[in-house]
Amino acid sequence: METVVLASHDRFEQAVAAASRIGRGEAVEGLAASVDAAVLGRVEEAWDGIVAALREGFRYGREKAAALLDAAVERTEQIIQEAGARGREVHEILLQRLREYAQETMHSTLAQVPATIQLGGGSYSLTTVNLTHKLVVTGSVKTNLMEAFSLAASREIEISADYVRAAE
Amino acid sequence: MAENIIAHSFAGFDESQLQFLVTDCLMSLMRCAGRLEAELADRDDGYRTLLQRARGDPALVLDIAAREGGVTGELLALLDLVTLHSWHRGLSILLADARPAVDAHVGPPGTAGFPRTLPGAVLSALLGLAEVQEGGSMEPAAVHRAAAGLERCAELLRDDDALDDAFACVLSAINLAPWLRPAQRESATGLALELAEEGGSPDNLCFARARRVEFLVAAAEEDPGRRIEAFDAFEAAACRLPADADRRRVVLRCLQACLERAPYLHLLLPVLAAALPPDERPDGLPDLAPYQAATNPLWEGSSAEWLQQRQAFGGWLVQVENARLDAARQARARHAAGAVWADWSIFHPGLREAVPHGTSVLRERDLQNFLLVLGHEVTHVFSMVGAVGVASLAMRWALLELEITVATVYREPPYQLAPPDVLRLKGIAPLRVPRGGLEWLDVLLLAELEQTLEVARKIQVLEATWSPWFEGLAVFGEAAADPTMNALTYSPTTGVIHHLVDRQPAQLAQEWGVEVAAAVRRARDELEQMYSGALRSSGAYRLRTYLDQYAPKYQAGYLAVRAVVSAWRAALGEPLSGAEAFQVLLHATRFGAYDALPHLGLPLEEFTGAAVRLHLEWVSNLAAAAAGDLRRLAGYIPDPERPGLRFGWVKGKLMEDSDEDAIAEETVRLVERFGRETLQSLRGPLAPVWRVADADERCAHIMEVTASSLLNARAEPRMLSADAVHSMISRQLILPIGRTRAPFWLIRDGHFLACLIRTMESSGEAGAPSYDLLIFPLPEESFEELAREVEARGEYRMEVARVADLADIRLDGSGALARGDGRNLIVFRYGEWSYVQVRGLGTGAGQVDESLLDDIRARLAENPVFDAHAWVGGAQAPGARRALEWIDAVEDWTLDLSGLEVDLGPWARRLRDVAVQVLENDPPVRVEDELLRMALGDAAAARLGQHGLAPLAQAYPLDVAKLTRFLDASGRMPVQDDALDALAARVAETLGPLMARTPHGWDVARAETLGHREE
Repeated sequence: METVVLASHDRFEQAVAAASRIGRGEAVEGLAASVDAAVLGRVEEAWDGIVAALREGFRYGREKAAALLDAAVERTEQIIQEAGARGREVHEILLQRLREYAQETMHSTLAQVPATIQLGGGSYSLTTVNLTHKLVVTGSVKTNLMEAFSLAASREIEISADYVRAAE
Repeated sequence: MAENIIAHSFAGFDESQLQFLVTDCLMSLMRCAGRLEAELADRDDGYRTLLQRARGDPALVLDIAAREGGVTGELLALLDLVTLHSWHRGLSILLADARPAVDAHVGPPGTAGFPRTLPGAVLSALLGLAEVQEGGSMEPAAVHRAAAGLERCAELLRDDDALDDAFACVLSAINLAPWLRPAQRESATGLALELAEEGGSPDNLCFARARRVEFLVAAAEEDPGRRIEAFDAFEAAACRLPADADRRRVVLRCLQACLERAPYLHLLLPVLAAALPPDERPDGLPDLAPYQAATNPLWEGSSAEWLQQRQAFGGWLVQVENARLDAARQARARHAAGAVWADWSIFHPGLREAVPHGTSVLRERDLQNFLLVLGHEVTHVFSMVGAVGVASLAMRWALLELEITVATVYREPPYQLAPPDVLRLKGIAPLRVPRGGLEWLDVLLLAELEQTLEVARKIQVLEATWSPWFEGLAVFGEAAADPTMNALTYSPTTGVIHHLVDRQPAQLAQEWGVEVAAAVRRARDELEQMYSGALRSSGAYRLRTYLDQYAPKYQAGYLAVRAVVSAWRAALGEPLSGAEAFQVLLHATRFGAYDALPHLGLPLEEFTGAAVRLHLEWVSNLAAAAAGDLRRLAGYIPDPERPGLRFGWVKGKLMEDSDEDAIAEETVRLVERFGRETLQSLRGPLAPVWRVADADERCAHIMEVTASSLLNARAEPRMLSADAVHSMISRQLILPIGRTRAPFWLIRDGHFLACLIRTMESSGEAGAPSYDLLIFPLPEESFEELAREVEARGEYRMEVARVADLADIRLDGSGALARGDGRNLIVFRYGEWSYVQVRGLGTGAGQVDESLLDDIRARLAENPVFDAHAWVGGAQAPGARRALEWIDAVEDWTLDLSGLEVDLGPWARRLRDVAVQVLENDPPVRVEDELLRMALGDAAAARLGQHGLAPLAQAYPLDVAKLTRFLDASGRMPVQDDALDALAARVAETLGPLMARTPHGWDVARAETLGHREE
């Protein structure tokens, strides 16, 4: 059976929230300061733009959010470059967040596929699920961002699910 | 050296050697016989009778003695001697059987009854050995008891200056290591090392070091954070082996076993090989001459020859240093730098094993953050060098004094120990637990313990009350105090930054073709430009993190500081720069907060309320500072006609203080007063009975009686004499920035000292460590003194530290800088020897002020009193832990006063609650919400306090960055930008009125009431 799973706003926000938790600063005790505060601040500023683009894409679709996406890509690249020797850390955290976002979205999609269905008086159990959406894993923030944006803007993921009739 | 029969054969004992192990322990215990006999010297024949009976049944003797007159030290000594002399005639059987009876008098290890006298300690060891012997196996509990008894014997023999005997006992304890818990192995090997160092026998030292390595390598397998200890211990053990061939072989076997277990030590193999006589070295080794040159600090050849050898060993040595750094990095968090209240020190993950030197700072991989973080922490320390820090310090000294009283009066016998002994033990001994009902002494202990707990908690209260402000000030300094915006003067924090790079003014003057003074100014400008660049490119990002991810910690203090600055700008009618504002804020925090401190003896609840109230009043008064005062202080340049003139603040008003010396005297008086007030805690009228809500009338009466009796205790702090305070404060004004233990060489040809120091932990794009080889001549006398120390100690590393002088600026007779300005110095230390070089912008200056030298030595030298001070008042809170254990150990809180029963349970529960609070250090006050409300007004405070920036991020995600950029920029100067209107509206909608348009541009809004003095 081939079907389309629609993303809900809540699930979208959950995926964004899960991604936002990646790469946060560790606790500091006493009169202390994080030596990574600038890296963390850079990540958050880039992430602001990314989240804005994803939200816009989710709400209004790919075309209307294209400008925000372009701005997010540009700002992210600028921030990474400005970070100098620590740009790689900014890059890595953003990559992890984007991957987390994609994974969380996939998981929540799969969670919506019923394990059993009732059809014609019979009960059918899920055996396999195939996602038609291809996840691209690369080291490029831009590519991953495009991927995440595509997931958000399409608002739907096609899947094929196989069921077999459950034993009586 | 100590002649234990098998003490030096090391690892691999198994139970088949049980008899050897027991015999070795007995031989060590026999070393106590003379002292045990001395206990009996004056006794009459009654003891002879007991002696006869003891041979029959030791337990019976104890029972009889307990009934007839108590178990005395003499009786225990008697039992020890009988047992030692008759061991092989089967007495061990009787002793083993007698254990339950003996336990009643000589408690097992880890209990309050574990003996603190030599007869008791020997008996404890014998009991353990008897069980091992009779059981025929190394039963862990019995072995543990034997080892603990031996270790206690060693401690007591050490107190009696019998170091060799003590060493024998502790070595016997270490031989039992395979059956001991790690903590006991640790304490025994640590004690052995201390004894060997004190005793001065080179071979004992070799053995003790090897034993320590063995333990540490095993400990590091469980906890990689201990690798650095294992590394250093191995290195020290490997570079000097015993002179005697047999003993050398034993040590060698031990160290080889460690090498096999710990790959991170492999680079040190040449050190070990080079220490062996040539005929004992394995075949096939490369030429070891370079390694010998590397690890032997004394070079008698020419300097040219040394340089040649250095070429050969240089690469290997850098690898060793990198391996050591890797080991050190296992031991620490790398994400945060911090400042420590207890000793006014800082730590930075990039400087724990590095000493900036020359221009190395400029090669730091992440220079911008390095400078900003260092500035942040230095600001904290400068904030402490003022009213709040001094009060906290004095309270810690008073706490130590109270702890010593408890430790000396109420601990298990011997009751009277001089304070140095208590401190040297560096452990807070268990307290005597009442058996069979409370005595009056226990009630007094309850009262005195409550004093210690109350003081410990009040220290936490004071620091928690001021921490948000301190953080706010430090963050403001990071983001807004751009030194380039104040052309006339600079903050103390900037002074330290100026001196981070070593430059010789005379050389610069020549190079640049200007006068020396102009060269200094230009060099300062360069550093300020660099700091400014860091602040402008990273400050906003850092601010974002502080206000977003770490909002509960930084937000309230930062916004309170900003609101005060806004009030000042309004009062001045001109845009005060962030740099100028920072200077005034820091000055007021240091010299204007004395009237914001409550009486330090107030009961905890009152103290907490008063500390918060006075702090808020202080902030309010500061916001209302008069424009004239602000103008006078912002950008103040010392008046050459009145060089000693200093300023202070009273209720937010600037006052002229008389002069520098008078201020120093006043500081001493204040510290004494703070100590005196603290000691008054819970004495007499400062001990209200309402603090124990459920105390009945009798309990309340007892509390009042004990509080009155505490009034008889000494009112003046013993440890805070004028001299002690002066030296304590002076010492604290030396701030260690970075430290390392560096390999060094003494080259007699030219009396050179060469030293390889790690200058940065991560430099360049790759973030690799960097090193400098320093070579400079020493005065002949200093050279010879160091050479003698090297002969005695044999270690090839010395401590190198970079410190900053935080004292007020003082010029010498010639007008040159003598003290202060944040000037950096590099200190070389080895044992008692030390050598100091001026660095930073004073590089090349010959003379170092004598007072500065004294303070540096005092700061860096190991000092058990200061260690104890920091430890007792530190995060471990050992006193609170000990108090909790004692309270939990007391089963019945009923005091029987001649038939009248008093239930002290409610009082004990109150102590327990406070002890838990101290140990958990849960926030004793939440000053943040009130600070925000006072600074920003109710509307903004409510939303920010509860949600931080989240409502803005949710509604307008891109505005969070815009807001932090606005906050960042407006900290330096109000922002002229009409485009901010829209942002201000959205911020007001989501967070509250946080931005205000002023005549000078956009600034942080403040509560309407803030900045107006209520006369």
